[in-house]
Amino acid sequence: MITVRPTRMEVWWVVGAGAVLSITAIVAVSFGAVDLDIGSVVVSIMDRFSFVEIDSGFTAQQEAILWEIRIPRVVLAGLVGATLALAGGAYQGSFRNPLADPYLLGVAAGAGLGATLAIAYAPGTTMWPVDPLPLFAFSGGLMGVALTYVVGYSVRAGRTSVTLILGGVAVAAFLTAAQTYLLQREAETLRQVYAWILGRLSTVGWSEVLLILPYVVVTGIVVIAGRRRLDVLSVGDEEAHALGVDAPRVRLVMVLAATLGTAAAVSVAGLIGFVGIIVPHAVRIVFGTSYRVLLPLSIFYGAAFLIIADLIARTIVAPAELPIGVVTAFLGAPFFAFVLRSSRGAGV
Amino acid sequence: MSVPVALDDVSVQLGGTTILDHLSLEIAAGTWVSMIGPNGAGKTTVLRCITGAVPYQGTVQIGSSVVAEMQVREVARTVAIVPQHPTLPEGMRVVDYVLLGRTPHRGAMTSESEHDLLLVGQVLDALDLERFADRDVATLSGGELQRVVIARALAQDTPILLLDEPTTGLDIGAQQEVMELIDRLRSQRELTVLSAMHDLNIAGQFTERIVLVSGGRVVADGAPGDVLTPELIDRHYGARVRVEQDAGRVVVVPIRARLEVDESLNDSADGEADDPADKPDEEILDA
Ligand SMILES: Nc1ncnc2c1ncn2[C@@H]1O[C@H](COP(=O)(O)OP(=O)(O)O)[C@@H](O)[C@H]1O
Ligand SMILES: [Mg+2]
Repeated sequence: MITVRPTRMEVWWVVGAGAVLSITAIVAVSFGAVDLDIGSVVVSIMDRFSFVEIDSGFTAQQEAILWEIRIPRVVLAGLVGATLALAGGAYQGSFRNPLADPYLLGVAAGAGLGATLAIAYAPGTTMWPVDPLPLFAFSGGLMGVALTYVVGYSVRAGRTSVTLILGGVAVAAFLTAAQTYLLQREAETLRQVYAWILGRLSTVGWSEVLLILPYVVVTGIVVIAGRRRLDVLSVGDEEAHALGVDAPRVRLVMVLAATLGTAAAVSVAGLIGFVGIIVPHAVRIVFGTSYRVLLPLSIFYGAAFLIIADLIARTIVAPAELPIGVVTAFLGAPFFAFVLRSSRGAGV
Repeated sequence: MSVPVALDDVSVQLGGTTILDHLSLEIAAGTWVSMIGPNGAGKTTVLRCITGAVPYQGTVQIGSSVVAEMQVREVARTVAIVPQHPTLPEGMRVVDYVLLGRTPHRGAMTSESEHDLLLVGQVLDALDLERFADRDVATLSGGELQRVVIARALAQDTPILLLDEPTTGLDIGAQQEVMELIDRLRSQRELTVLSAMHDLNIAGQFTERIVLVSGGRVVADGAPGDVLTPELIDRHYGARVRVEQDAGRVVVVPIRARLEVDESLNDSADGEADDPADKPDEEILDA
């Protein structure tokens, strides 16, 4: 009898992904308006995380740049990238649609509208027990994906993955129009919100990281815990049911979790497109289609991808900064076209 | 441990039309019953009622449990189904696909156990599928795929097996192979089997009991010789057939209305079939 070898996460795949992410992060914190010595950066980080006192040789100013500007920004980029990639993978598995992505499903546009409403109309954030921004963004994102689902699946005949995406395009356009209207009415907030539309990661200190961390952790835990269920969903709702899985419930939990993470990411970073599609697909091409492998690896490669995109965004036209959404779109649109071309089956 | 299945006064309405109309059917533990009927008769719907995939009025029982009161997972540990048109996940390997059958036996967050792997290995072995273990399910031929889907159902390790037209689309050799396989597995594992069948002869050859469903009702139920009659087949399929006996089994031979008339005109039909004058006409009609 043969030995059955199921598709499983290999230890060295995780080790490799961790190494790629670490190297990317260290390179990214070293470059910017002021370049820092990579060796000293490594020493300074080891100094903070170990009980041994090591001198990195950095001046106080260099230490401040590293710890108050660079590292928070790279960590933020990593969290946002990991979340968007993970959410993209979760949406693709839930909707059994290789083109699903937070951006294309109207989630990001809904979250953007919610966040705009929060900034324009919610009174000073100090009045709220928690920052209302992520909550508004979450509600908006949820509304976006719900509308897309209704519009995309209301097509009776010829319901395919494309109809869902077309629904998403329509919903995103509508929500973006509503947001633009608000922006024009509330000219004061215009500048603050404009940055979102193209996506941007500007932060000083750790406040944004701390703001989104709880949401991102919840999303990560729920989606990773459900990864085996998404593999069962790949045979369709009815067969999943015959295998003992309540597909609508799994889908609901996954979509809620993915939307929560997306909304948190959008509330600090704006509308960053294509991460949710490029990263899971690249992982799929290299490591196979099983969600039990794809989702955990998407976390690492999503983080690494957005850290690189952010590095490009802040160095290529220095001292000015390119919105990061421009960089991901520039890399992502051709990749998207490639995925669209090579997608077979799944009704595409 | 064989388990019986019973549908009692089951009705299904979908999209405003009645699909099953007060249908009752009992299948004794450890027996194999074929369900035949014209396209759209409701065969697939009967199977979907048993797995609880479609809302219905009436009761469906497996063993002493009422399906409607069972958890989805509990049902999946008792009933496995081989769908007529399985959805094939892109890029999934045969082993992973067959392992999906173990889903109802483990928690949502646990990996497959050694027992799961052993059982899947045995199933692949029994169905002669070892060499396909690493193949992408989308690359299999019709007969290979049918065996793989049956393998997934067997990995579910349930006492009840439902098959929806398991031989449709297979060549004649693969049809017999699949049916022999089901027969062998059924006796080895003491399974209760209900199969919707498209091919009347295969149904008549392999099962002792045939249920004819038409318009959402059971219109005939019994031994192949009692159900596969020219009258019933004409009434429910609108087909003209001749029924013959072959080594104690019933054989249904479809006949063309026009040829039947020709035959009745010429008593010695044997030589006539080769008459070249008849051929052009036939070919035109076939085209
Ligand atoms: N969701 C549905 N809505 C409306 N009609 C349906 C639906 N599903 C099946 N039907 C109809 O129910 C009838 C029985 O279908 P089915 O059980 O698949 O028949 P069979 O398997 O015997 O060919 C068919 O006429 C089919 O069109
Ligand atoms: Mg059918």
